Amino acid sequence: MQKIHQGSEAALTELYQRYGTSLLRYFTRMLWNDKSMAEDFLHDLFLKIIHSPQQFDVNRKFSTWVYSIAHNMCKNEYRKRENRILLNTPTLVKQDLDRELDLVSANDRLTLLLEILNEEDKTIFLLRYEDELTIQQISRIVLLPEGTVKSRLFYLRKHLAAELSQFKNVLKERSL
Amino acid sequence: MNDMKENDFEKFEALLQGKSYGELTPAEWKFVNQWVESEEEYQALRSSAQQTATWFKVNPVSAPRNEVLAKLRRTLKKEKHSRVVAFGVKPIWGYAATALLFGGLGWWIGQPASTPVQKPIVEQVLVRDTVYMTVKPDTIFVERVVYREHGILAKSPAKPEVQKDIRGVSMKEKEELDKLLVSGTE
Repeated sequence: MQKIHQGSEAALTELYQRYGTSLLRYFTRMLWNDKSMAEDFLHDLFLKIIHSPQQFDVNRKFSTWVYSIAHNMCKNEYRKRENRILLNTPTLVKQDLDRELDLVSANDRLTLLLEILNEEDKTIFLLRYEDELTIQQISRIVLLPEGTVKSRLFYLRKHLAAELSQFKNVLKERSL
Repeated sequence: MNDMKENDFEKFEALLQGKSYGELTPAEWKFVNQWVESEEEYQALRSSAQQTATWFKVNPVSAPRNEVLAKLRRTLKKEKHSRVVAFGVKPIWGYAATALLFGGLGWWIGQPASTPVQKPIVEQVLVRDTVYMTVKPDTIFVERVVYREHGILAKSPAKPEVQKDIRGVSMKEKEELDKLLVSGTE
């Protein structure tokens, strides 16, 4: 970070190569699989790093810090989107969603299930099962106690299991 | 969820991913039953975990485009340049600019705030050219210089005074004098 503050392009490239892909993946999943939007977010996040590297606390782990920024950016986007939906479009009725879920395959069903999770649950789920961060790191990113993170993960697993149980046979075929 | 369960959540996850219900040892089975109520529930959780892992694999997110990095590098370069300009890698230019700035500031402060309006100075000047006397003065003082003649007496130069013998009283005389003073007689 100090090197970036001094204007080292090599340091920026190193940081980008180390975290760029995982952050882009996080943004893509969080932002409804919109890759161009995710790339914009990634760009903005690195701009924040360039413009104010002094905000980084050297006592913290860099990945935790950078994911905290990413999480806050997504939170803002969800809030904006929520307001837009409330103003412009009718609320998605649960029955419609169920009908939609019945029609899709197991893979698409999981995609939809992840998409409709709220921002915080989705962050916790993705950081744990895709980016494989520790419970402690996740707790610091989302600013929740570790116990809360664990129970959220457990109930998310239960929720997904219940939703996916209808596709038991499909899952068995895939796992074989 | 009690504390013990919270602390063992990672262990539960590891078992869920690694072992089916039938593969669990009696101790693990006992442990797992703190979390789930039945074999079916355990298997459902395990299946969903596998399904999620598969989903992540079949829906990968590729690395970001190089354009993003290129854009960021350009921004960093600009940022660096602006810092150089701001903090002065070339001190001469920096000093010159500072001197110019302060010179200009000094000149600006030295300037009067607005052009002063010249106020007309009004002076009362009394010019007396003629004195009119309305009454006749009863007394007129006229200053006049009076010259008086008087003779100058010629004086002879004073004779120098003869220095008298001012010899003092000797010890013998003084003794006799004292006696005389005390007794009043010789």
